[in-house]
Amino acid sequence: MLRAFRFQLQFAWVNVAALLGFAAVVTVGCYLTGVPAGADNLFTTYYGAMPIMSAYILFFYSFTLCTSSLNLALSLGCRRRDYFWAVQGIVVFYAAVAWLLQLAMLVLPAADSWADQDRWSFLMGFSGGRLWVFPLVCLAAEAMGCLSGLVMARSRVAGGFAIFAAILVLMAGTVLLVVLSDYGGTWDFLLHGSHAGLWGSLPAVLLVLAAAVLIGSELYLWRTIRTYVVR
Amino acid sequence: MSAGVLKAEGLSKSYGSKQVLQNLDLTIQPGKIYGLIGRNGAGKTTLLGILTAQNTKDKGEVTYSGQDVWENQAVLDHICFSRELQPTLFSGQNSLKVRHYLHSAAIFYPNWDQAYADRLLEEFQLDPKKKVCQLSKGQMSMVTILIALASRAELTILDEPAAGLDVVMRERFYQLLLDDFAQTGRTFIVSTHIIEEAASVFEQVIILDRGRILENSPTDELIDQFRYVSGAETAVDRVCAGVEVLSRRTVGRHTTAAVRVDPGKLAALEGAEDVDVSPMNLQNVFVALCGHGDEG
Amino acid sequence: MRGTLNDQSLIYLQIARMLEDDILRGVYREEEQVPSTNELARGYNINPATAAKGINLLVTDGILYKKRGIGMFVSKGAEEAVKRKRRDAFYDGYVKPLVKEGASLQLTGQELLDMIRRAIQEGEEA
Repeated sequence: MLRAFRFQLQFAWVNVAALLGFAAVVTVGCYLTGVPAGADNLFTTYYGAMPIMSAYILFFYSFTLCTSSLNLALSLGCRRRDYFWAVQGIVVFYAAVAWLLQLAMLVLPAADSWADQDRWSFLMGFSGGRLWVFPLVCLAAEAMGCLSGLVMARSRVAGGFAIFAAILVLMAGTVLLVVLSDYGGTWDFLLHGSHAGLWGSLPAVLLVLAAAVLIGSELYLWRTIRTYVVR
Repeated sequence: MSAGVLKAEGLSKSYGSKQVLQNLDLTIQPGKIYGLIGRNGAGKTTLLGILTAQNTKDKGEVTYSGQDVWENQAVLDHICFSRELQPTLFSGQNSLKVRHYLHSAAIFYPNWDQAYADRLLEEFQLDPKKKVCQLSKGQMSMVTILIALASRAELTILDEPAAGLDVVMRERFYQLLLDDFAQTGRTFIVSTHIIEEAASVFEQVIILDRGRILENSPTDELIDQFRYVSGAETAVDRVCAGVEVLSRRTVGRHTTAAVRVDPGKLAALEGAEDVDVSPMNLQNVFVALCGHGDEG
Repeated sequence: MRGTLNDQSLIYLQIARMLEDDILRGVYREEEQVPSTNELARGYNINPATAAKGINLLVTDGILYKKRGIGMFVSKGAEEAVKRKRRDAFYDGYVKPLVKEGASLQLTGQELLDMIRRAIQEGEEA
């Protein structure tokens, strides 16, 4: 199993570096354009939407986990169950990196006294203060990435649709996050408004959804790997 | 002792309604170079995939040194199945870099010989930075060969290693293969379409036809059972009565028949009057057995 | 490399025949070393097992013998042994086909004998 994990790692390092690099560029961009002082520009949006962007990036990184990487590993004599567990390992690794990155980016505005603290703390508040929501979202994104990759392998068209759907979901999520953080009071408004129950339970609902996606895709992944025929 | 013996019993595999392998038995003894020959679609790659647990089977058993092959790391560590590379994979370009492919092979094959791999990389003049989809057909074959040889696996299988190579490189491949074999004595199974050239390299030949093993015997013993008998149609028919005739071709009144004879009856055949009896090479034998008369 | 081997007879027989020819012509004399199995395999791009089969044939016929750890050597009296072996096979291998071909050309026994005599004479003159 170690071999399978080392195999995955050779591709993962580059991906992780790219993710961190992207975050660094966004952060530096914020500082250069005066965001900590309260400026509202592209970098503001990016910084705030970083959780979504991370999830999106992880979604793409997971594409080949169940397709070309799987094919290659098995063709070199890797056992299927070893590959399955290596995938788990890599997926957790990616999520852990994204999570740590996110924590760092959440802490930064407070630590460095950025203006408009409410907006930045909203990102934390959206998950109801529960730290583990974001990693779960990452795992779900990765699971969807795997599945999309598999769909893509069967048919470019269907795969294209899968990516399109994922983009929509993520864009919607981004917009939602940005809107709700821009109009600071919106979230409070919703929580106390007429459909308070609905909005209040949104984090919980998303949680359950993410968990369901995760479990479903794990089962599907296991079955796929078990019955996979190497080309 | 079944050490190093690869044994398949009762293998069956179908894709949808198409039965690719039917109740197939095969035993591979260690320390020999086997040639696996068969027509396109005979099921060679499927068979090799099943023998190496890279393909699933519907029925049957595959064991190596007495242990089941499926999901068995101890067994998989001894096996290398070097497949033909494909420029497109999963409805997209195969953008794997040669370097990554080799590095991955080094991770998985316990006996990987990096020095050997480097020497071959140099000899084949392969650029490790190139992606598989950027390689020529010949270069893809060379990568297949490199992986197989450098794996130093006890049982090494090469699927169509010579496809895409020009004749000079093919000769070089046979040389490399024989050199490696002379040095290590490991078991090789080479599947190929280029039969006659490779015939002198194979100690034993396996013929796969329409999902069944037709033959699994030493090359020269197999070839020696076959002859061409040619002459006047009547003379040939007379001589061939009581002998298994595989194919006949008549041009005018001249007939050439490909026959299969027991060693005991060979002398009688060769002494026959009015006909010419000549030997068949492996390619001739293959076509006679697997041609199914479709050249008409 | 394989140029000298053809598909008219089994490879190991050709290997044996080549070595016998060399012994007859004096290329390898008694007690001299002949190429090893691996050298033959490498030289002709053939499987070592095939080369070994050819050599073993000659060992069985007493034409070669093995010196442990060194290699294969030409036996004492090998030249004679090869000649004897070839003579035994001469009738089936050369004479009978000659007669069969002559018959199909409708040459009489006398015409065949005359031709043979002429060939011997020409051979002696050369």
